[in-house]
Amino acid sequence: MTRTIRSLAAAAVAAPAAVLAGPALAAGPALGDAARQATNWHAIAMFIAFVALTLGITYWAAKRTRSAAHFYTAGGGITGLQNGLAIAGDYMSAATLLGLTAMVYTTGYDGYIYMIAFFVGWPIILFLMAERLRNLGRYTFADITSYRLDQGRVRTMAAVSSLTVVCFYLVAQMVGAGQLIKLLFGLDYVVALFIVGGLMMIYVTFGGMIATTWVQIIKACMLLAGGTFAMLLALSQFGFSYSTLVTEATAVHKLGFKLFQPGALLADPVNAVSLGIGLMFGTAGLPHILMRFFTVSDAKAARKSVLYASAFVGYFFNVIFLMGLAAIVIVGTNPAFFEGGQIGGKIIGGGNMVVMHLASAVGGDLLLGFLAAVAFATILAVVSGLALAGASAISHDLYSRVIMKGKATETAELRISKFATIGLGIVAITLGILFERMNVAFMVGLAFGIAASANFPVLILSMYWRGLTTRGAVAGGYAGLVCAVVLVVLSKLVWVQVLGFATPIVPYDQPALFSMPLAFLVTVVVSLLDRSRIATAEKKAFEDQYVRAQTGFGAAGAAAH
Amino acid sequence: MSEAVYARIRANPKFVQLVHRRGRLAWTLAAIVFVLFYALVLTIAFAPGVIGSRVAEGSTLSVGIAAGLFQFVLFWLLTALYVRKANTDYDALTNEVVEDAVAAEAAATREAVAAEAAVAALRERAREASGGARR
Repeated sequence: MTRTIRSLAAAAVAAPAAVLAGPALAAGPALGDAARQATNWHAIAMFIAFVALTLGITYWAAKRTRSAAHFYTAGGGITGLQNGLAIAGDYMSAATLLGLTAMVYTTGYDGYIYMIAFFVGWPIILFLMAERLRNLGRYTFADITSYRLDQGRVRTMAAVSSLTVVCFYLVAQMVGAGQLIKLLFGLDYVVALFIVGGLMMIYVTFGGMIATTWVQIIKACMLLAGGTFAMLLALSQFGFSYSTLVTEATAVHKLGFKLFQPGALLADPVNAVSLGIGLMFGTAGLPHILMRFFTVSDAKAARKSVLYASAFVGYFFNVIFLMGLAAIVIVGTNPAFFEGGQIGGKIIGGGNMVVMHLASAVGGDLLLGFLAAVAFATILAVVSGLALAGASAISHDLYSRVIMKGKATETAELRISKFATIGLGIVAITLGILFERMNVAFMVGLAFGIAASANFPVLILSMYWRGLTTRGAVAGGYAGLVCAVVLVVLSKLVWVQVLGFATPIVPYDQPALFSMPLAFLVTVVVSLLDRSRIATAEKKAFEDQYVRAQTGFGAAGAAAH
Repeated sequence: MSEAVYARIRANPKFVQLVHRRGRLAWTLAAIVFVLFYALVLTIAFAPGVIGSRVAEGSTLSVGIAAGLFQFVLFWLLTALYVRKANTDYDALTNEVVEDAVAAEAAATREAVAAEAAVAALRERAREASGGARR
């Protein structure tokens, strides 16, 4: 039991794999079980180089962060390619690299299903949202939902759900980061949390969006380069032939060719569809991802960002798939990677270490050190993006627009955002320590579920539906939020695995199939029933908003430099 | 100023055309993604055997991998298609619509200013004339 819980905690390193939430990764050996590893000097040297570089960039960025626009959106001066890389860096977490490779290694096709589901949100974001996001938004996505509605109530709702998403996501990252760093670098769990939390606070507080963007860009380049290099070295052992790779992998894997059949994870149709919905629309409702669309100069660049980001993300998922298959042969048949030399037994360091073992087998200590540094950099890039999104919800939405009703000075708003960043960092470190031995796998799944249920419906309706009113948006947003949280709490992930009850009350792990339609339904019904005079004015204001959304006329431009 | 411009843009038939054409492309592409992706998800849920079978006798490629890879490639190509259309044709049309409206509004404002000035000048002359008469 404890082992399962800790392996799940480890699986939660970050976005993607944590949504796998459970069975697949729990089947593998536990990451958290592993004792501290010997200090890995190659990895530490490369990581120090990364930190030195990013701190230098933060120093440079700090001098350029003069206004709120610079802090929140880098002054709107990021190009399409840069933003595409940064989005990829924000979206692909350490779990993508570690968890999904491990999943392909143990269950084959299930890993590929997750990767497709994580990918398909991007074309949808481009076709239905990207240009409207850029044309209507300024600093946060609540700028869009509250555009013609009641600023106070709608922004409060958006800030509450944003902060909920950010907190769950952040805690899952921190716990995963601590476990991972303990393993890869041989550092103590608490020390690791302070390093991650501290660096995150420095990047965001001093460098704002400019520093965060560059941390994400550098990390994306490192991840793409390291992954590609490891894949090529691994494939060279199979003569670069997919056919040879599959033949050898299915020959040694206990599933044989069944490796390519969906596993038990998605056997239930309701769970499968719910997962698809949650990942597709959750991506389109994550505050730290949406925020990236405000960093470019116009709709043209926003569209290009998605083009580049989806290319990098899609490419890297396929690299991971090939690495997972190669690891079946290269790692799975080498006794050196199993505890006690027992092939098929417990993998040294736990199941999530498969890709690290692969790197060390094909590229030696140097590649292992590089990939370990990449994993650490990955965590930093993702938590920085999250902290910035959370801080802007507090300073821009809650402080400036709700509490001060738009009368706050820019200096005061900036100061609040920096305090908020430090506050979030302290919360993240504290919760990370408290949750060290808890199952946090449900948290990222929950974050995606809330994003798909509370953020996405209100956001898309505010852009597309004239009839949306304040009452509808607020009721629907909170309904989606509460429904997603309750469903997850009553599901196996929390009810059984965290709270220890025997049977779950809700048989499905994924809430989105139920909570997202509920949010839409409540929003639409309450809006339709709303006959107040304010509602009439809100509907009328849609006309001008619609023209701005379509043409970008009146949109927030790039800040003066 | 901007409210008046929004009204002018809305009244421009080219704007209606822009919204219609771009919207149709966006929704068509989104529909393709929805249909293909959920078809795959439902196949995974209801016919896992099909997903796990080989595309051809003796092939090492399975149906599920082929379908997944196809979606990665196709969806990215659809993304590229949309970006290309939107960033050239539709953006050109958008600029045209906005420029028309801004220019028309500026001209209208100028005309209004000129008319106002003319009226003021006439009044001034009339006042001077009447004043002169009185003197």
